[in-house]
Amino acid sequence: MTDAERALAVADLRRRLDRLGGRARAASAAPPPRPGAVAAASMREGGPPGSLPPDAEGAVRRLGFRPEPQPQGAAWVRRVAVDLGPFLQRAGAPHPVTGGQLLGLSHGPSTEREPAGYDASACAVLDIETLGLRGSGVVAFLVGLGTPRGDVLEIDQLLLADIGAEPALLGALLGRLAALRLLVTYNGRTFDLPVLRARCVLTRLGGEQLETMPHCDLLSPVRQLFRDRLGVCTLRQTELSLLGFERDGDAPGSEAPERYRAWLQRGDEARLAGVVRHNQLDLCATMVLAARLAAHVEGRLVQPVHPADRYRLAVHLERHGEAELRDEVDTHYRAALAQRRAPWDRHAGHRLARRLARGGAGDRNEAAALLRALWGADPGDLRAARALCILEERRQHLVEALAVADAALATCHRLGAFRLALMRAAPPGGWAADWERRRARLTIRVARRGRSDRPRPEMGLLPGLACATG
Amino acid sequence: MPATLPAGHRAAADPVAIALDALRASPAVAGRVVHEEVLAARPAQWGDWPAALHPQLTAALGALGVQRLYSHQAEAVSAALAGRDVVVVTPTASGKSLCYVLPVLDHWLRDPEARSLWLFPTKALAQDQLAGLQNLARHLPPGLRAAAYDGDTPPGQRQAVRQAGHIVVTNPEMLHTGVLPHHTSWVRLFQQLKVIVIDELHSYRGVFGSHLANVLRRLLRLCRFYGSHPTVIACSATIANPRQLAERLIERPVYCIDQSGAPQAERRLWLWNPPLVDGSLGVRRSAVLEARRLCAELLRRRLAVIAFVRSRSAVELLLSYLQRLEPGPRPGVPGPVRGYRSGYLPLERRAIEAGLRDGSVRAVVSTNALELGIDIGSLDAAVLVGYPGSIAATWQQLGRAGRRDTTSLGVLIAGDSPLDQFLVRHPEYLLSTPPEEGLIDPDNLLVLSGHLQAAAFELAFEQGERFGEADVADLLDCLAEDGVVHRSGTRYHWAADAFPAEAMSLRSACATNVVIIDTSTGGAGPGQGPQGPWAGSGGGRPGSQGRVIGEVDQFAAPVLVHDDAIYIHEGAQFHVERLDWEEKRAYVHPVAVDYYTTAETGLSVSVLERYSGPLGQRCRRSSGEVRVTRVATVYKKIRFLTHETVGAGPITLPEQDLHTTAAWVAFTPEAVATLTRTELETGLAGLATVLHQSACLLCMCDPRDLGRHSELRGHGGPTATGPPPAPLGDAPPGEPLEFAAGWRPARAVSPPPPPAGQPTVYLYDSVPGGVGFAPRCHERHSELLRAAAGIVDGCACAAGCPACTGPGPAGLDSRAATRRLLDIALAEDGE
Repeated sequence: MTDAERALAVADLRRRLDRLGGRARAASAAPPPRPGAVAAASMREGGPPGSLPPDAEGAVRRLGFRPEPQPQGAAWVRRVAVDLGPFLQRAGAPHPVTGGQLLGLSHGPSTEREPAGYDASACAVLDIETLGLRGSGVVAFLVGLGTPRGDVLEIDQLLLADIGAEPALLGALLGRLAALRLLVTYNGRTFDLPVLRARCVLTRLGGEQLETMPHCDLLSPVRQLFRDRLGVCTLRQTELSLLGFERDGDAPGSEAPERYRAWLQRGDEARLAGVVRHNQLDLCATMVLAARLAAHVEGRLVQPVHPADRYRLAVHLERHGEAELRDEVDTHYRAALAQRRAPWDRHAGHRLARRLARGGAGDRNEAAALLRALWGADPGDLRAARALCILEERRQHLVEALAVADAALATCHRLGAFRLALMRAAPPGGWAADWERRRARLTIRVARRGRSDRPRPEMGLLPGLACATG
Repeated sequence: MPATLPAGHRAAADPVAIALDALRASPAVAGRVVHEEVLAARPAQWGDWPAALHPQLTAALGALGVQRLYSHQAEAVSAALAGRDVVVVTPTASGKSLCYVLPVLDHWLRDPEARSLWLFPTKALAQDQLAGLQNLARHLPPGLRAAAYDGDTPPGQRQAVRQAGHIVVTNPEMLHTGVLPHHTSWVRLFQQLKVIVIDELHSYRGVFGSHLANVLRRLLRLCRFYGSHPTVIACSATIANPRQLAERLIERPVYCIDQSGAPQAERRLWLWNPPLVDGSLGVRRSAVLEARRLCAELLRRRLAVIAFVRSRSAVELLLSYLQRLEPGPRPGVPGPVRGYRSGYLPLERRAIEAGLRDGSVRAVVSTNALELGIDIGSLDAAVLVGYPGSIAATWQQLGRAGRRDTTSLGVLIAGDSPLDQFLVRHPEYLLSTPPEEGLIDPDNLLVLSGHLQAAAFELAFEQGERFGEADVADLLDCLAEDGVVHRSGTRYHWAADAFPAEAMSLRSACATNVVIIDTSTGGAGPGQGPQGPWAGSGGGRPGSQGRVIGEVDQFAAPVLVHDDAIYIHEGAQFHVERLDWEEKRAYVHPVAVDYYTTAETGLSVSVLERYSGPLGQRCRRSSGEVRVTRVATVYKKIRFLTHETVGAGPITLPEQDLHTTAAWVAFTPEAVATLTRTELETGLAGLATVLHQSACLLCMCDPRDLGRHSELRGHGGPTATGPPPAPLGDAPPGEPLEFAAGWRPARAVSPPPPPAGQPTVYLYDSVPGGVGFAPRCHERHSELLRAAAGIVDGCACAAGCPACTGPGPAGLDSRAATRRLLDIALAEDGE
């Protein structure tokens, strides 16, 4: 078949597909290819994978990429160093992050290692730009890897200048990863690393270290610490809200696929340049964010402090912190309580009371007083009442416990079944039944105890504690 | 698992036979059963024990009491163990699963890393087979991990299945969107895949089969990439061409086993024709009302019964009738009569299946959703309300009754349709004709193009690489021009940011369903809602949060859930407040009214391109590509029980387009000059009806796979929206049809359109792009006309009835008008 016949055949196919409504679309918002674009694109083709015709090579070089020989061909690498100093200052975290701090931020089975040897320079931040979001066919066309050297972030960006040169790019990446001990990403656990791993499988390069090497995904601490203040935890949102800077003239990440296709089809280097810059900004922002988070969990809170911050930080430290952070956790809870901002003061009160209830007699007295105050401020807070009832019963203050049950049951009747059903954390079977059971048991215990139980003096409220009702 | 029927049971001792004898003699049945056939019991045929089978399997089967294998099981196991691709074609309940379970377990016993992939057309079936496998696995060494991987698999389990599942049980949809596009997460499965099981092969016909063939192309392509060479074992109910279908699906030679060795208890088959209500018009009593009468009798005699109806709304109609006879313990709690259809939520369905097995459900009204081999235990009777559309489906549905060693009953209640009436008049057709062929066209351009994109997404294409048997070089270039794939050197790489598998639905052309939301809040249960047809205000606001009660596909939505429709779900009625077409949501609230609604649709056909024809002078026949535009126009309110129309209203919804292949016949004005306009109109409608009917018989296709349409002023040529008319060219007759031959380039020159406004009859594939029925009608034109003439001449009615050409307007002989048009066509054909 001659070229002309072939072109006719393809045109005919296209016409039939159009008519059937089955015309393929690269993206919903992509502009149609310019007439002649395909011809230009096919003119560039023909070389062995991994090599580029002179014009494309010139464009890639103008963007700052240089070839790096790999066994699979040439990988195109752009090396740039960015001084993060001003950004760190602006974010209120003047010191670059250390390897130990990064390990502390991350959690999960793959990172439970000793911090020794986790030099910051053995850590790297990783971010990829892709065509598509899901599945084994998602191609990472730009892989950015940044290693901190003091305030400076040394960035290597690997570009898939020719879509067929993927093995060289992945080879270059795996070579770099071999020298690293810890990866830092933003949402890399579910996106960047699985995508790269899939590409390694497809190119038969292995890439097991992408699954096994220690990894700190900043998305989870950001979610834990700041979800009240951020709402949507995108990297862009953290920059605005936590780091205090805004990008100027950035190409949105959502445009990356279309821009890369413009490069593939038309050799549009200007549009590709936007993605390269975007990727570089992502790497820098992720690194600054890591320093900011490290400072935050060490007590240098993001300014201005959001009412939820102390409560969320205390929860974070309680969940992941060591035993020596115990006092710090309590301090944050007390501070959140003292801020009197609903609903976090009440949440903090509940958690603090639970911690205190596990402590010695003094702590338990304080826990009881705290729960009584929480319940007093909001009689509908039946969780506080239940915690108080259980605590009093454990302390053998059976009469007080019974009084709590009586009062709570009265509250249940006052609220009615409908409002009770709407309340959070209701026990199985409902609140009313739970209190009935509790009261019945306590009544029996009190009766058995007889008059041996001495009445207790009324506990005073802690000074300054008056919870805002939630 | 093999059925363990004693070979020589005595029907006389069996209570079902006694009850059936009594029922047969009762006045409820008298005069309605027009044919009774007794299918005699059949003894078992045993085969040699496969010598290659692992001894532990032999022992495990022995522990289950299986000392011998039926002949078909032994043959299939031996062939599969020898590495041959096999298709096993035997009736329902003949122990087909053992044919693949044994080879799969044999592989696993010899190599604990060996994997297999089981494909079932539905999720329910997968669950059922897994339960069956557990029985055997209990007697084997521990460590076998078999799991379902489908939409119902909890996310937490998915990773475990991906990494460690020896047997992964899934359905074509999940394979298509959930497994293949994520193959790098399934490396172990693909590397170690030894056996692919395709059960219910016969259900992969038409568009679904064409899709599956391409999904299998993708699967086998990935297997090659990961270095595995799996054997395929397929099972099928009886169809005419199992081997051909299997070979078309997997594109490899297949060894076919079609002699069942399983025993069979006595079965009775009644063909039931409802009495005539209006003899001259040929109108018969509604099949649903007849089913109500028969099911009531069966329930009264404590026989477990399954009723199959044709549509989802008919399920609800018959269900509400039967539930009145056997109500639940209290309102809102289901009794022993349940419905089963798509649109019910999975948990609901599992509960009904379990109820059927344990006997707490004694009757179920179902669409063909239960037709496939889900184990629902033993039922005594299967009642088919209307011909299910294909002989294979008929036997499959009849097979749902009579799994145990007692006599069973199958009843086919004929509807008004010509095909139904033809069948009850010609029982030999049902009893002797081999069932339909499974026709698929894996190279349907639309289907192929979609899967080619998915395949390119999964793995880059090498230049010159074939996709299964298809040469896709041009199509890849076409995709490259669109920027979907990008050619680099000798490879085509995926270059779009879309997820191509998701853009394609395997079962229909539409990817989205309409979700049905009950907006009533505060616990107003079915039947307790506001009364009266227009009680919309009491049931909650459109847009407010509500409970999702089910879904319908996009094509059914305009008919089922248009504004003011009564949607029936599990016997409860819901009034549709609003259908939000853009958002694909229907807002409903429960009501209790004494009517239901049916919608009528309007159709128009425009020809886009002619592939063949026009052939002939006065009656010109052609085939080509058309656009069928369907729009729901009006709905009618039909009162329960009396089935009288009590109201109507308009439906305002956007048109839906279907691009497909068609065959059509146009009459020149001179040829029909002697007919009046009304005669012509009636004749065309009649001709469309009989041609459609004979086409379904000739092509052996389901009537729903082929659409028909007649137009007095049909546009036999390209319309304004189609390509411009090409200059005069000649289309030599007898040239192979371009569509049937694959997607090779069409002739660049189309013949001119005939003058607009000719009386035309169209037959079209009801699947976008077509699966090849219409071109076959064009090829077999002569046979089609003769068969149609046979139907017209053979009917005993006076002037056209639903069993032949359909009744014409008052005072007009529809049969005669149709016959005149047929004569013109036959005269042309004879020349």
